[in-house]
Amino acid sequence: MPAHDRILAFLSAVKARLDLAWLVRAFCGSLLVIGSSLCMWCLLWVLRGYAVPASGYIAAAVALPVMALAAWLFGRASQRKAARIADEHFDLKDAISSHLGFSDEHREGEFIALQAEATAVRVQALSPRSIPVQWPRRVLTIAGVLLMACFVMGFKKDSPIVLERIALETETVRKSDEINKELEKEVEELLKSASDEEKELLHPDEWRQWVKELRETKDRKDAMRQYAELERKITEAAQKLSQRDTEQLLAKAAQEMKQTAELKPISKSLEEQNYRHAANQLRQMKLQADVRKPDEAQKELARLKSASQRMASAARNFQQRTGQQGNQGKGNQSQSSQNQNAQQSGQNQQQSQGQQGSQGQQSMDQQMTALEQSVQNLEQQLQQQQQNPNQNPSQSQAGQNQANQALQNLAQSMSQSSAKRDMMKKLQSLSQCAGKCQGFMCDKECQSLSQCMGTKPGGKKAGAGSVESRRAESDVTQDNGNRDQLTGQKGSGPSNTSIESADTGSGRATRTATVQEKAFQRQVESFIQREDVPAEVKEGVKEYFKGIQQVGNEQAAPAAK
Amino acid sequence: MPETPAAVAHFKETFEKLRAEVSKFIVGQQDIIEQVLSAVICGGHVLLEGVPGLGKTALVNTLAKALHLKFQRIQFTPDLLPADIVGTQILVERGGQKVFEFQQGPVFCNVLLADEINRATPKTQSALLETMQEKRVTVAGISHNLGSPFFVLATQNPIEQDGTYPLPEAQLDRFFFKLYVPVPSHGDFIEILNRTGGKSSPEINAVATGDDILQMGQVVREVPLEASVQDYLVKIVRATHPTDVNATERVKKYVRHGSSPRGAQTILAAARVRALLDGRYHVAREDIAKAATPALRHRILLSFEGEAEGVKTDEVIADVIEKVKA
Repeated sequence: MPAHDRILAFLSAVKARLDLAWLVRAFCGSLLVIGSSLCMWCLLWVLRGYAVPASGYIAAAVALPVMALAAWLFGRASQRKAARIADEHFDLKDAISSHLGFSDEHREGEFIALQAEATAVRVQALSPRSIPVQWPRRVLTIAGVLLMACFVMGFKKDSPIVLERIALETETVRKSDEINKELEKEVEELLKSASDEEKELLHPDEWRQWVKELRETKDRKDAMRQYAELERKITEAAQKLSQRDTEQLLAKAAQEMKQTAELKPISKSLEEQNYRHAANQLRQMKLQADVRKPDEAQKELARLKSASQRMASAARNFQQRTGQQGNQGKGNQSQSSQNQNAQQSGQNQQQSQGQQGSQGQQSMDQQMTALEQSVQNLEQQLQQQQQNPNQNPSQSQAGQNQANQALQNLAQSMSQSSAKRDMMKKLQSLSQCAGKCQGFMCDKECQSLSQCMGTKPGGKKAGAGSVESRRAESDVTQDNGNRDQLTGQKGSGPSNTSIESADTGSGRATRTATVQEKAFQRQVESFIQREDVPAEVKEGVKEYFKGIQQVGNEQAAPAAK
Repeated sequence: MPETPAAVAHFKETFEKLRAEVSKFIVGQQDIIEQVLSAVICGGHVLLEGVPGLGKTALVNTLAKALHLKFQRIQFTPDLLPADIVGTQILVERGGQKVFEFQQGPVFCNVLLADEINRATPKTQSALLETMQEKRVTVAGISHNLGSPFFVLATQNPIEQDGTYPLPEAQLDRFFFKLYVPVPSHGDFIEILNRTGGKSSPEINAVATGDDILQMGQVVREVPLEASVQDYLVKIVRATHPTDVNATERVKKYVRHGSSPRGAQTILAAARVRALLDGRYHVAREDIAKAATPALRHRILLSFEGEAEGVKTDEVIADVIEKVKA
């Protein structure tokens, strides 16, 4: 065998021995790394109170051979390195390294051949097995201790606090899922039951989007926040539909019409706030008589005239109390200027919405006064036609149409008010539902949403009595595992305080006014009993104070509501 | 040229004969003897430094006898002139005419002992420059070749500094090795007394000729050097420069100038001799490391800070060898 081959064979044996030694070191090093990592991972779980998941041990078992193999593959000695190590280990004084270098450089000559032969002779007597394959005891000991610690930590169970937390998270997920489904169902029912008029007031897609945005979560704080947000949206939507002033106007109109016997059904409907029925009753007053027969037309008109006068009176009264001028044109002008000012000043949406509501109220009372005006015009035209039968009836017909149109507008507004009122009730119900959902989320005792909402049969669990006078320890102070402090988002939560606007007056205390009123009453009575005062003056004073008395009663009625 | 194995055998045999012959008179100092012989074989000059009485001159005398070569000795003194070394033109009468004739100086020999070389003036020292490098002498515009082989063995005394002229760096660089002759050990002292206290002194025989030395020098040049070992050699020499990337902190701090390429050539030649003496046919890193100290110690110029702190160049070289990755 040539000297070169003998040297290479020896070098291969040395390299195999070195690879074995490196494999041992790589395995031990990997064991140490894996052991350290696993130990830290176990500590991380244990210190947080959790049981160590078995997946970590499986991953470590898989990672150990992979890491050792990778380290072995990447760290294997090259032929040159093996030659250097062999030179050092066997004290060959760079003989093998030099031979490899000469071979790589294809150098030839007598000295090169002599060098190869001398090297081959030297390596022939050497045994690669003399290269030590040592197990690093210190590394193995440390790795063993670490793995033992990991093994011990693997038996540790979840701490009570963690168990409670996990249970709480599971319960929160379950509850949020249940709540989401319930809210989705409620919204769908709301949208399904809404009439076309109500759907115009709502935006179904937006509502569905809100419900879709609700998500399952195991974070109770997050869940509470999203339900509070939904409740805020519902409340805002309900506030937009608020029509308190319109309801006051219609209540006054009901009181006015109550004084007329034939208008009592409408009055009753308005008092019961059944505006849709009232609107239908108004529509039934539509003028259908032939204007060429003025007598019949006037008879038909009489009822509408009475109603329009009553409603117009209520409207004027309402306008006076709300500080507006009776002059319609002036009112329109001032309103338009207000709107312009509002738009120019860029006030916020809430103010804008309030103004829009105010416009609706004005529209309603304007419609009432417009109806009275059109009825009066029609009456005059009918009287003229009655006096002059040859007169062209088209004017009367136009007046009749105009009155019908005003009546239709008023009835339409009433229907819309009815729709708004119904929708607001539904939204309030939905808002309450969202509130109950939040309560359900917080309530540990409440096991199901239906039980918490109280709409379905619930009750306590089987075996739990109804007697509450137990001496069991209150669980108020027990740790429920919830370490989070629920904090609301500033400015985004629903407010529990609502601003009630006074019906009339300046909002000042009425005590002084009552005393003054009694003093006035005594003065009036004494004034009326005086004989030197003319009867006309006495009558005028009586009427004046009757008017005041009427106003006082009207103020008392809404307050009682 | 004989066949390589025979040449190698001749090299080892001759070297061992020379070593044995010199060792007859010189007690101990085996490293010094080996290094001097290595320098002679490689055609280099040696600067021996040591206190008086350590056998520097005796070593050179013995070596000259053992080599059967023409030997000359110059005792350097401050009044020594260059002409006293290289020779001079003298006016002689030849054929009735007076002509200038070149009178050879003591430098025309094979082995020149420049004893206490640092006592001569720089002018006289520089007269050796051309002689040592070119191995020829130029007088009156005429060059005269010296004998072959030719090598200078110079000695200098480190203790007596008065009236001495330190050798310039250029001349120091011409020396193959600078060797410190140590004080003999206790046993060596006893042996010196035994050998020199008797009636007879050892007889030194010539065991090698100039041709033998030249043949040995040719064999040495054929010893192959592997690329990585060569790279190691270059790294060591470059690391003696404070600006090199491999320079150690000690080099950066205490060295002003590092070794010249001539230092690398010297190390390589000496390492080859060591390899052959060790029975190897290749140069090892160990040979490089061993040869580095005597080859570089006089080629490294210390900075003022190094001189002030008494740093030895041997320490710097040892530091470089230790730090440079093999």
